[in-house]
Amino acid sequence: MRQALRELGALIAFIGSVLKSSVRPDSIHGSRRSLVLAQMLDVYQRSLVTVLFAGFFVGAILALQFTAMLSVYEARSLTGGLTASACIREVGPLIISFLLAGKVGAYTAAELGTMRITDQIDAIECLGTDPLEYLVVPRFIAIVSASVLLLVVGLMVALLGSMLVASLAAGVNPLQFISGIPRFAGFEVFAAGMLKSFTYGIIVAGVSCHQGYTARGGALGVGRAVTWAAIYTNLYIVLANFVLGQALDAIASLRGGV
Amino acid sequence: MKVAADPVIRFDSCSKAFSGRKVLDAVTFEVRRGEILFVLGRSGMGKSVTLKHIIGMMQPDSGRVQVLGRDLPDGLQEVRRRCGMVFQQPALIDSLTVLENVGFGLRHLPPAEIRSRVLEVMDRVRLGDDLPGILDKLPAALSYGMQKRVSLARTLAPRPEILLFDEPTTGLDPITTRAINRLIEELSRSLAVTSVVVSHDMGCALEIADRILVLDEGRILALGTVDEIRRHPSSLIREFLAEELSR
Repeated sequence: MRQALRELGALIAFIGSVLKSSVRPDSIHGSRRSLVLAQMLDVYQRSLVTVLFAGFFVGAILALQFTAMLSVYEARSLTGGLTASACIREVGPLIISFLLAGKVGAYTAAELGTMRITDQIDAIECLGTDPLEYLVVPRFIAIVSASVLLLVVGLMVALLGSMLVASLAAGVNPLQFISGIPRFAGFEVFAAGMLKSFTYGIIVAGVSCHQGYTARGGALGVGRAVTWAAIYTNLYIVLANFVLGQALDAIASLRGGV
Repeated sequence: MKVAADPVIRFDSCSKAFSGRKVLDAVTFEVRRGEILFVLGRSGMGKSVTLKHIIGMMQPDSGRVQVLGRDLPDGLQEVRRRCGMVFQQPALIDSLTVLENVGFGLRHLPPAEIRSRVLEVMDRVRLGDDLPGILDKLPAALSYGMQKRVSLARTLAPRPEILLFDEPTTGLDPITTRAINRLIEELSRSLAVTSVVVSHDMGCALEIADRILVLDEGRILALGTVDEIRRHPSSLIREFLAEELSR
């Protein structure tokens, strides 16, 4: 427990340094923007196909579940709204962040860890460049932005998948499916999903960069960094989901919303 | 051997401990401008830690480190601009080409000037014959010996006044080791830079060092010219010398 708290403290301090470094004027000779763009491209290339694939089938599975339950009450027309609400608010941000943690987080922890143990990070520092600004800030921004943008892409595909399955397997009219969405998934639900995705993105980026950047002890240390990055990311995301869920529910009930 | 008088690196009673174990224990010495100082000793006796204090990657628990007249860590940015470090491993950035790696410390210059400086230092480290084909290669496409030379070129490119070498010949075959050692001497003399070389190689130290510092258990066991070290009564130094003779 003490170890986990110490790790959390170190992570918060690390994310603080990264944020501080990212708002400071560019000290790497105008190359920060191109580094960020290169990293973003890399993250999207690495995860887009998986997100499309997972999004489609998550939507399809949810549609099957909802149509099966709603058929009992002759309320299949609500499938679109319920699927959209579940995808945007809960399943989408979680699935995207777990996919990012697996595909990009593990890669980032291993890459930075290898750079650390082979003295590449020390060499960058000795050549007068802040390694945090040169290596970590671009990866951090890329992962956080990817988390939010991939959610939007994933949601569209998930809705497409659920609409197709609801239509083919349960005979839900696509127009009826779409018209039911605003009833359950308004702006507040969309904002909640975005907030969750943004938070999970910070967790994935922060934990993977922190574990890699502070790796020690050769190949074994890199392996350990990747393992702990996966463990801490999943743990913090589940905890954040609980806390955010409670907070958003409290806000919604105060405002008399859903 | 030509040794100027003014010190450019000064350790003043520096101590450093890790998990309660003293790696440097009130170490005091100076490195004079233009000299080649070899730091010898057994593994884990504080040699690399000494180098890391000079480049500001570590700070002493007590005592003072002064480099080029600046107290560390206050003058760290300026010191790093004027010092270069060659690591035990080539430490080239995997994702950058040779040109980008060697020009890494020159990114404030226009691209044409970066290229000409890169070509100049590549020639200095005897990679001129491999140009220009090597420039667009990634480090993984080079042999280990070539990576070491590229790493040396990267350190030389910003024209440092002090060169720090952390076991520069580790993992190299005897022929490449001799070539790298000759290169260190030649570069130090021709560019008139001050060099601090951490090594296990007593033979090389006897051949090219102006002075040798021997560390043991975090303390200075001996510091002197090559002749003074040859005559030193310490059993550890005798062992090092005997090992060299037996090769």
